[in-house]
Amino acid sequence: MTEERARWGSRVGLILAMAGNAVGLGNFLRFPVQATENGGGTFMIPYFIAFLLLGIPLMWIEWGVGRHGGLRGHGSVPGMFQTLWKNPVAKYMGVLGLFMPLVVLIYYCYIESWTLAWTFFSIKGSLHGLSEQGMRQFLTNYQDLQAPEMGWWVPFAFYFVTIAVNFGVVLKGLSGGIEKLAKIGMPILFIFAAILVVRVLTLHPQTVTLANGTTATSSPAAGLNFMYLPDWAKLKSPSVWLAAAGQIFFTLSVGMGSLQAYASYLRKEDDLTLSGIATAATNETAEVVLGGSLAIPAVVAFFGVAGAVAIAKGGAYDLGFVAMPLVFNKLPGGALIAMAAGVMWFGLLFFAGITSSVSMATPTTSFLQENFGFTRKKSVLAVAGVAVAIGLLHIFFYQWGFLSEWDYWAGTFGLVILAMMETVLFVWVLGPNPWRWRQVWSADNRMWNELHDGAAWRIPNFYRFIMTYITPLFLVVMMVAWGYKDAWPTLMMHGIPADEHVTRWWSRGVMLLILAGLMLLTRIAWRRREAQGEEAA
Amino acid sequence: MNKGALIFMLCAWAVVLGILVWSFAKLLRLPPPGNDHTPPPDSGP
Repeated sequence: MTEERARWGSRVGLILAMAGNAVGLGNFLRFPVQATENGGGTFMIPYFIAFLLLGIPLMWIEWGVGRHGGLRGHGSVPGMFQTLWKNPVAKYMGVLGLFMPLVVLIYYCYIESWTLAWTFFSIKGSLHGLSEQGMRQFLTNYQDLQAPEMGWWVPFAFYFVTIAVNFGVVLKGLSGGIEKLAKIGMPILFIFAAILVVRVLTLHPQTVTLANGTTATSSPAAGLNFMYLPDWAKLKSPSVWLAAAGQIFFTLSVGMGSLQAYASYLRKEDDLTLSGIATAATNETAEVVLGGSLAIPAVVAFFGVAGAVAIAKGGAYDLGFVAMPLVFNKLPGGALIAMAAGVMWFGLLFFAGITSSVSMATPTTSFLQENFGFTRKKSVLAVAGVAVAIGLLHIFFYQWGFLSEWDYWAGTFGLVILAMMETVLFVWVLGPNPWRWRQVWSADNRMWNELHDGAAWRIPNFYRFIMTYITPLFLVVMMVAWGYKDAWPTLMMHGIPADEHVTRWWSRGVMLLILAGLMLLTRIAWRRREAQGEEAA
Repeated sequence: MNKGALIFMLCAWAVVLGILVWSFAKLLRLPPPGNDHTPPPDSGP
């Protein structure tokens, strides 16, 4: 259990893998939808403030928690929390850091398989010439397994291929699989995105038909105007601030458990401060510079601002799998250009997805290896088996909201809970007593010193204050606001069609079973550790 | 494109790309892993 841990092969490989972890479907789908729904330019101001006060500090905290645990032989959050806080409850709190990456991995792979499927459909020309109605029907048919033109088995086939590729990469190990994938996948993703951005931004003004039947001229510049012209009056709206903070959370993959798992392979003498900020900057480049210049300007150019807002209201999947292929069909150059654009768009989404999903498989595989003596192969096969078995439920019951429940409770609400716990443990328990002002600024601030072990750059001192007070406060506000605004209505299924209620309760039951199973495994693991005379931690 | 929007966009891009280029330039100048490159500790303000 305490054998030599694997290490990253190179510094650039580590940062690309970390950035690959963070850059996901959310950068290209969720970000434009959130920005459009929350007023475009108005959204961008709180977004950047949240990046500085919440995103960057959490990135450092997660790297710090991960390395702290990794140096003590723990590659997953239960052990990491136990090393930060000796109370036996700590490891059970950390089970969320196993639960969330596993649960998100299971449904994320299914959505990732759509991107693979749509890459194939783009090559095959299946999307060419479809109307808006036809494009939406094509997506719905695929999701509902009712697509006579392609066969009910097609979604399963793409799902199994996606799972096989994901776990094949994890099986190859840290530097031979995950790092190599990041070194190949990330440049491809950036190149595809850059080509599409150039094509979108150089589009000529288009004539668009508005909802009232009249026509007007629109262009990509109108989309950029919408993205970057703030409406100062709307800035007073708390919901815009909440949405911006939430987006920063999701885009950086903080509060999940996967960044910590990657950081656990760092050595004490490895840099963490500069690498952390480089990772955050890589993600923001993908999101703001590329993601922000792609979907919104493209959709505004062909559908107008009002049309883009209406599409955003339909959600991220509508934007990615309906609106964008429609845009590609309208590009000058005919079927060949539509195919090339489709391949690049869905290809970049696939690479964004897979570099994230392989990171989500890491915490549970590490946990099994470190605590139960599993070989890498055995642990990867065990997690893959669970992922496939439960993932099939998502395919069968997608249309009744099975996946939406998981996406909300594990992929949204749970993240804030884990981030809150790790911030308190790393900043307040390992670090200074927050009520003692002098300790925060002291040279003995252990949290601050641990972040700077091996550091190639010193974090500006004012971040001591931000990390100790502002970041936790931000998290508490988010947790309370979401709890009040979203969690209760979601729990009570307000606005959900009655025919979905039973499936959604089953979906919650399966999640609770997974959580209970992981709690039990953690209990057994620590009993084994104690029996073998290792530290109770 | 509106001038205000253009300035805001260029500022946003400059911040993000600035941090990216600065951090990678600094990282690539570091000695290979294993060497001690820890800067001297500070003692706070």
